[in-house]
Parts: sequence; C-alpha cells; structure tokens
Amino acid sequence: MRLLFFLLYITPVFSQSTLGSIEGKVVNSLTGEPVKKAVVNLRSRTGQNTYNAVSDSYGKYHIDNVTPEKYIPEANAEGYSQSRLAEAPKLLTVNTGQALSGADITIAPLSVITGKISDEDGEPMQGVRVSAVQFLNFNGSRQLQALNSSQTDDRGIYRLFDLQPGRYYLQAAPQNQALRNVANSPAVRVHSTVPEEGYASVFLPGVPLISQASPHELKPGEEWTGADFKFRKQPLYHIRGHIVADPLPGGVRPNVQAESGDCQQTSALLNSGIFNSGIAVPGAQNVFDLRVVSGSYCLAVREAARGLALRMNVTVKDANVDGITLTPPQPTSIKGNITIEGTPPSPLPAMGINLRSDESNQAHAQVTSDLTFQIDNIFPGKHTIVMPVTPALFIKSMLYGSTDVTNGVIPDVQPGVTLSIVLASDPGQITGTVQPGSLESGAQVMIAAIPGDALANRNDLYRVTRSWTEGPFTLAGLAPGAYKVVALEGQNFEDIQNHELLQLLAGKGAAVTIQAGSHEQVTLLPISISDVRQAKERIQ
Amino acid sequence: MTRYTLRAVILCVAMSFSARLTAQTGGSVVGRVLNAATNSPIPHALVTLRGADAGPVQTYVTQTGSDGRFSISDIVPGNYVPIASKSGFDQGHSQRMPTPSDTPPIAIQTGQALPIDIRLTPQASITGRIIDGDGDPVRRANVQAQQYFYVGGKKDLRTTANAATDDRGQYRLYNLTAGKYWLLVAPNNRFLAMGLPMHGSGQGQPQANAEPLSGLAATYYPGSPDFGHATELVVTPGAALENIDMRLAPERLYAIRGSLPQGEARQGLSIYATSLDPNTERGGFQTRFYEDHFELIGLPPGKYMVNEQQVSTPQRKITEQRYARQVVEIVDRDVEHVDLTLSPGATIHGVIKASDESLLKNNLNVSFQETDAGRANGYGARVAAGAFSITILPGTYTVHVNGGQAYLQYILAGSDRLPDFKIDTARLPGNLTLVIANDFGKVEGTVTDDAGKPVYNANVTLIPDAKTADAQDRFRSAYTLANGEFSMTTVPPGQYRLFAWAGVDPGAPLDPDFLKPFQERGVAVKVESNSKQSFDLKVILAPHTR
Repeated sequence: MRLLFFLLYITPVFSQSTLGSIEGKVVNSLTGEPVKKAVVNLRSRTGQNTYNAVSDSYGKYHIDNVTPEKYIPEANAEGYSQSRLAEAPKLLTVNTGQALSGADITIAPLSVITGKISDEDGEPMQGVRVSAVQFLNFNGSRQLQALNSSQTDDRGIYRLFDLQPGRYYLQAAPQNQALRNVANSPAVRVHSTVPEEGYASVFLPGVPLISQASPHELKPGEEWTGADFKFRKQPLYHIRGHIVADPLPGGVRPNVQAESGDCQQTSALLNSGIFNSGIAVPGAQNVFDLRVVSGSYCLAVREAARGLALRMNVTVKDANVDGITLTPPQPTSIKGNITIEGTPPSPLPAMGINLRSDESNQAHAQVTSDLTFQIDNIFPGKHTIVMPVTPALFIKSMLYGSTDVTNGVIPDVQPGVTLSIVLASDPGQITGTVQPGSLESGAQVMIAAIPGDALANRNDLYRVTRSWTEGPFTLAGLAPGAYKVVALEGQNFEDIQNHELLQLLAGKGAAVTIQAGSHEQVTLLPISISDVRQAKERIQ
Repeated sequence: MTRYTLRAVILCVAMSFSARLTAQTGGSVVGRVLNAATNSPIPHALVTLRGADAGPVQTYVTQTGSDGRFSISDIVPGNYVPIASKSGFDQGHSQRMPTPSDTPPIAIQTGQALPIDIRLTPQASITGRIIDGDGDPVRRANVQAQQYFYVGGKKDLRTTANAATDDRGQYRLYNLTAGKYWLLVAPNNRFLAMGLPMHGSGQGQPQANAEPLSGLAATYYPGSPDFGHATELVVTPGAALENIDMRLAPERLYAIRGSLPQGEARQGLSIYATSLDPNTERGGFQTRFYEDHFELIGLPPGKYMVNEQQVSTPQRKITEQRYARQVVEIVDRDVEHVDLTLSPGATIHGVIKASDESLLKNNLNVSFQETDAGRANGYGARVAAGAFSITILPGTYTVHVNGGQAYLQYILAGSDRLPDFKIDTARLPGNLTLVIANDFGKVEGTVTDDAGKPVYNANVTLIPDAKTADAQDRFRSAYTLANGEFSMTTVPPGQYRLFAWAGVDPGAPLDPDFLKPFQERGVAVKVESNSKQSFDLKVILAPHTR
C-alpha cells in the first residue's frame, strides 16, 4: 500500500554535489545518555524520500546522499517509546550540499511493573495472569484495554515491560486449576472432601471492582516494584438457573456470564472480558451453573452474532443462589430508507449503517441499490446510529417513526418502526492554515472540526486531517451546523480521535458555522503538546 | 419453573441417600504425599482415588493437611488408581511416561484401612541471561528447552518448554521434568528488519552507506549455532540450574528474491519461507511484494523451502488452488531469480476394498504423509461410499488408512501391486485401490523380573521385521497391569519381535540404532490371521534417552 504510494512520484535527480548529509545522536530523554542500536528513519514531508540508519555504540548515526528537503526524524529502539509519541519531533532541514550535524533525536525509555503473588500461606502462586489495564479512547468511546499481560512463574513473580508511561490499573486473575480437575460428569461420580473454595480475580490493592482500585501513575523509565498481591481463598457459591430460549440456528446456545458489580454502573466495562467470575454455556436443558465468591454480580446473557441480550443483578452472600430464570427478549429488526437531496455522486459509493447499544452491541446492515436497508438482531433499548458517509454527502436529518433522531440517538428500539434518513449533497467545507505560534515553521499538526453541543453524539460529524504549520488544510464533507476547529501539535492520532478530549479543547479553537454548500476559511493557532497533556490529565 | 426446581431437589436427596447406604460398607485409605527427592511431606496436595473398574466410576478427592497426611473413608470397594498433584511436582502420565516405580492401582475392601504413600517428583528450573556481542541484553528471545523424542523410528529433538527473555535479557524455564535438555536460543530479529530499506522502491538517491542487515544467530548452549557443538544440561529432580548464560554472535541476514506473475494472475497469492534446518524451527520471515518481484528478508544462512500458494478466487480469474515450492540455500549472499511456476497439485482418485465389506461402513480417512526430508506436508481425505479423491503437492508419500478396526493390507496402483505403502505422484499408473483387512491376531502374556515377580507398567512392544515405511502403523505397544499381564488385540498378521522394557522412551524400540544391542533378547513371533498367542517375557532394563 505504502509502496504504491511511493511509486506515484517521479524521482527528481540530484547530482552528487547538491546532495547533503545528516548526522546526530539518539539520546535517552531521561538520562541524556546515548541510545545505541536505534533505528533512525528520516522521512520527507511528502513521503517521497526516506532514509534509514542504525545508531552506533556511541548513539551516533550518519546518513549521506540526502536530497535537500525538510525531514521528519524518527528513532525506534528496543525498550524506548517511539519518538513521535513522546513529543513532536523538530523538523530537520537539509539545504543544498549541506552537511547537517547535531541532528539529535530524543526518545523516552519505556517502563516496567513487577511484583510477586502469594497465597494465604505465603506460598508463591504460579500461573496468575496479571494485566496492566488502561482507559483508552477510540472513535469517541472510552474503553478499558489490557495493554500488556503476563503470567506469574513458579516463584509467583511477574514482570510487565515495555509499558508506555501513564495511569495503570493492575488486575490479577488466578487460574483455579484445582477446581477444573474435580469435575462431575454422568460417567464419574465424585465424592470430594475438598471444600469448594477459590481465588477471585482482583484489582490492586485487592478489590473486585475497578471503581475501588487504586491506579499507579507510571513514569517514563520507571521500574515499579511495589505491585505485589496476596490472595486469600474464599468459599465458592453457585449461581444456578435456566434460560428460556430456543437454540439459535446451528444449535448455538446463549452464554451466561457473571461479572463483578452492578449492571447499571458497570455497563461500560461489561465487554472488557476481564471481569469473569465464571462462565457457563448452558447444557442440554439450557441450565447454567456458575461458581463465584460472595459479592455483587451482574448476570449477562450473550447470544452469538447478537451480543448482550439480558442482564440481571444477583447478590451472593453466604449461600448458593438457585432457581434463576432468565428470559431474553426477542430480537427485532429495523427497516429503513434513504433519500438524497440534490445531485448524488455517481456512481454512488457503497454505504453501511450500524446501530450500537449502550452495552456495545453492534448490528450492521448494507444499504441496497434501491436505497433501503434492514438491520437485524437488535434487542430493545437505546441505540446510537453510526453511519459513515462519503465526504460528498452529509446526513441532513434522521426520523425514527415520528421522532427526530438527527442527534444520532434512538431512545428505544420498537418493532415495526421505520428509520428514514435524508442525505444532502451540498456539504460545507473549511480550508485554512495553521500559524506557527510558538512552534517552528513546518511543525506537524493535526486539525479537527468538532460539532457543537446539540450534535456532539454524532461521531460521523467529527472531521480530522493532518498538516504542518504554515501548510494548507481542508476539512470536507461537513454537515451544516456550529463547529469549533482546533489544531493540535504532534502526531499522536489517539488524541485526535478522543472526542472527550476534543470537546474539552474546543474552547481554544475557532468558531465556524457551516451552511449548506458553504466554504469557510479559518486561521488557527496550534495547541501545544503540553496543553493537550494537561487536558488529558483532567479527563482521567 | 417450580416443577423444575422440585425435580432437582428430589434428585439431590436420592443421590445423598444412596451415598449414605454405601458409606456403611465402605473401605478407607490413610496415607501421605511425599517429595520423592527429599522424602519430606507435601502440604495441600490434591489426592484423587480414581475408580479403575468397569461400570460407573467412583472418584474420591481430598487434600493433604500441613503435615502431608490424608485420609479417605466410606470408599465403595474396588480397584482404584491413587493420584496426587501439586503445583511444582510432576503429575501423572501427561508429564512423563509410565514406569514400573509408579504406584499401582490398589484394591480396597470393606472395613479395611489401607496405608499408602504417594511420591511426587519435584520439578526443576533453568535460569540465565542472554546477551549479544556487546554484552547488551537480548530481549524477547525465545529460549527453548529441547529433549529427544522418538518419532517414526528416529530420534528427534523437540521443544518441551520455552520462555521469552525479558527486558534484562533474563529467562526462566520452570516446571521441568528431570532429564537431559539441550537449550536453543532463537532471537527475535524482527525489530532489526524495521530499519531495512525497501529494495528498489523508487526512493530518492540510494544511501551510499546503507548497512547490510545483520541479526543475532540462533545458538545452542553453551554457545554455538552448530548443534554438533552443543552440550546437554542434566537436570535432576528439583534442581535449580542458575547462570545458564549465553552470548549470541552477530550473523548477516540475507534476502531471497524472485519474479511475480502480473496483474490478475497475482490474486490470492501468498509467499513464505520455512527453515529446513531441523534444529531451528524458524519461520515468520517478512515477505515484501513489489511491482514485478517479491522479496523475503531477514533470513540467516541455511536451507529454506520457499512456498508459493495461490487460493482460488471464484468470482475472479483464479479457478483452482495452485502451488509452487523450491529448496533454496543461502550461503553468503542474497539469492536472486527464485522464479517459481505455479501449478495445480496432483489429484489422486482411489477406492477402498475389503473382503469383510462391513469394514467399509466405518468412518474411514485416507492420509498422505510426505517422506522427503524437509517436506513434511500431510493431507487427509474422507472416504465416502468407498471412494476418495484428494489434491496434493507433487512428491512421494506414505499412505495410511485411519478409522475403523482395520489395517492397510496392500495397495494397487492401477493393476500393479505396490511393494510397500509408498507412492510417487509422478509415477502412478492409475487410480489407487487400498485393500484393508481386520484378520488381526491377538498377542498376550505376562512380564516378570529376574526374581520372577510381575512387573507393573512394563512397556511391551511388538516390532515388525519388515522395515518398510508402514512399520509405524504395524508397531504395537502396551503397558502391563499390576499383575504383569498385557494384551494386544489388533496385531496385523506378519513377522515380529516381542520385547518387554522397563522405563523405555515411547517409540524408542522402533529406532534400529536403539534396538540393535537388544535384538537377541526379543522373541520372534509369527502372527497368523485371527490367531491368539501367549508369551511369558523377562523385563529388559532400558537406558533412558531423556
């Protein structure tokens, strides 16, 4: 892909005398010491020229025969953060015949979390999976992600390395191997005097819920050694019952899972998959049997291809909970149609429409050539419409039955209600330039158009692009409405996809109102990396 | 709902009632779980008595106290296998082979309190640090603990444990069963390939000082890429081998290049290289596609199989799966012009025949296993209505028929009867007829030691005299019961030698080199159609290979 991109350019030929050279050092941002064996990459802003070198044992690199241009320098070394994520790199300008020296590249060391896990007797616990968990933003939604995980060895020791600095929660999930060895089956009758006990997954410092956990702020190059856990065996109780549901086509049965916490409060975390206190695939009679320690749980029924069908709170004190009946609702379908005002692009590109529930259920449908669609497998409740459209069009209005859902939210999906979407073919456009401000000319920036409050939920209205200071930018395909336009220094693309962060920075941007077909012009001042970092800390 | 719960309650009551009935007439066991190396008691070990009799299996589970003692009472009389397990100790047959020193099944009778000790062998560990030529730690290298196994009558090193080095270059291999180990460090050179310039990518001027790519060589302990210079590590039960450090030497890495079909003829094409060096299982090399050629990069010197495969794309131009492959040796430079021509595989049609036609009603599978060194492709086809059809890469294969109580008697290619069970796709005079039969003989008997006492878990092997490619299919093996008895019921007719071993590595007797010194101690056995023979064997103490 990237290769084809290269081939489109016609290579200019420079004589040897006009070519320049670059030399410099790769430096550890924390200690100032040279970094050896780093791979240095110089890329011209257009991507036309790239050069590579490896730093020597003094951290030095040298590249000759360099075509005169402005270059974005990058360095990668094992155990170090990519330089572009650490801070916006200074551009390197090579003039005709110039031997550029002192072109140092700073990279930040990555961090380590290590600790020991023991049981109630102080004996090491082997095979416990320890995960470093972080909240990350993708396409406007905040999700828990396990960034790195590792199992404890025979001494109960684990070590997570190459971690980016940041705020981490630690989760430890023991294997409970012994429980699996002693399984009853129709052919084997088990008589056990071993008490039903087990170890529940916890967050540091030993709590079941992430809301109770204490995070650790990991600094660049830090080796955090205080992350020890001590587990205590707890009695196990059963949560048993049955599901009233026909098997899905192919005999696939729903899956029941007990997740720590209250269904209402943990909804955003349910799909993270790391809160399992027990999973049971119901047997022949849709019977389930989960083993958990005492605590509050949310029972979740999931169906293949449909997602979360039902949730129910269960509290386990000091006894088994029996006789639970779970009756998942019938899934429904939404039929819809699309009208295009004005002249649609020809040929009309393929379009898809997604519905996303608060529980992160996703349902998708392709729009057919007669501009209708049917989205299947939707459970009742609130859903967000996600419909990416070509920049030549924009979503003008959406009607669910007689309810205006232009803000992208269907409050409650009902059977037999039609979704009508009006697309218009005269979107607005914003062009402009980013002034250097306190940055140098040609520094890398990212630009975003942020929709105003009324439409803040419409993820499809956010528009982003990249450019450099004093360089031009264009944001196309904008629906009419009020926007704030911001420019952020750097290349960390996670930041510009973080809609929560963008809303926070919107006050520093330029206000632009788009009319149908309007072309607006703005001049922006970049928001510095340190201002972006401060805003991120406020969100966390 | 209520009816459902009620039924469950009745069932529970019925079960506990029956348990109480047997309780009054049961036997009991008292015992200890001990560390086999130190004889010290093992606390909190899980103890299981698993029923060994036919019918519904009773299983009793308890755990040892802090003094390593346990007791189980109210046991339904019968034969039971005592098993103990504890993290850090070898457990059962999954981690090691059965030996005569295993605790045999015990017979529990009413009113009897049987004392038993169960010994567990502690596991060992190997730790160390991996550095490069400059003394810097090598991160994310794969450290493999390899042991000898017998596969297809040949001794073969297999990785039984592995660990990745951390950011300090340190590794730890643990839960190791005592034995002989060879250590191989396979470095992860992928990071280096990141800095490799694209080949002829249409960049500006080429860098005059572009360095050739180098990585670190896969290395055997104590420090050579050559297995011939490797030293084994002898790991005793519970041992902790420390400072098993290794320094990896730099090694030039090379590329393999070849032409590519153009345009639509390229659809669905994948290209990959696998190392043919039996001691370094290395693959995952990066492939780059260019306008008119491909490039495999980051390969150390050695022999490789370059594979091209093209999957069919029904809606497009490619209608059948096509393959090409070539052995390429890298010595001291890049290898150019590996221009492969894709071709469809060889399609083989065949039928299965048997004099007892009921055999054809079983679910049968035919499999083809490649025999040439470095070409280990295997293919399988389902037999439907007594016939099969399969498309395989051209080459030589051994043919196997699996499933059902039958063995492959002989093969017809067209009307020619083949001398053995090998086929060459380039020389097949016609469709295959695979003739199967079930006129098995039965071989049984007892194994005793020099003192005339029965041996438990002796490994009895029946080795076919004919050293044909199917020796593995005809080889039979069984373990003796506590009374020394063994029984092999599905022996294809033919000429064999019969041996009884104590503590032999499974598969070792198929290796002619292993068998040679013991050849005369085997009993010659001629197995006839549907025959039954009985033998009393003396146990042979076999040397351990691992």
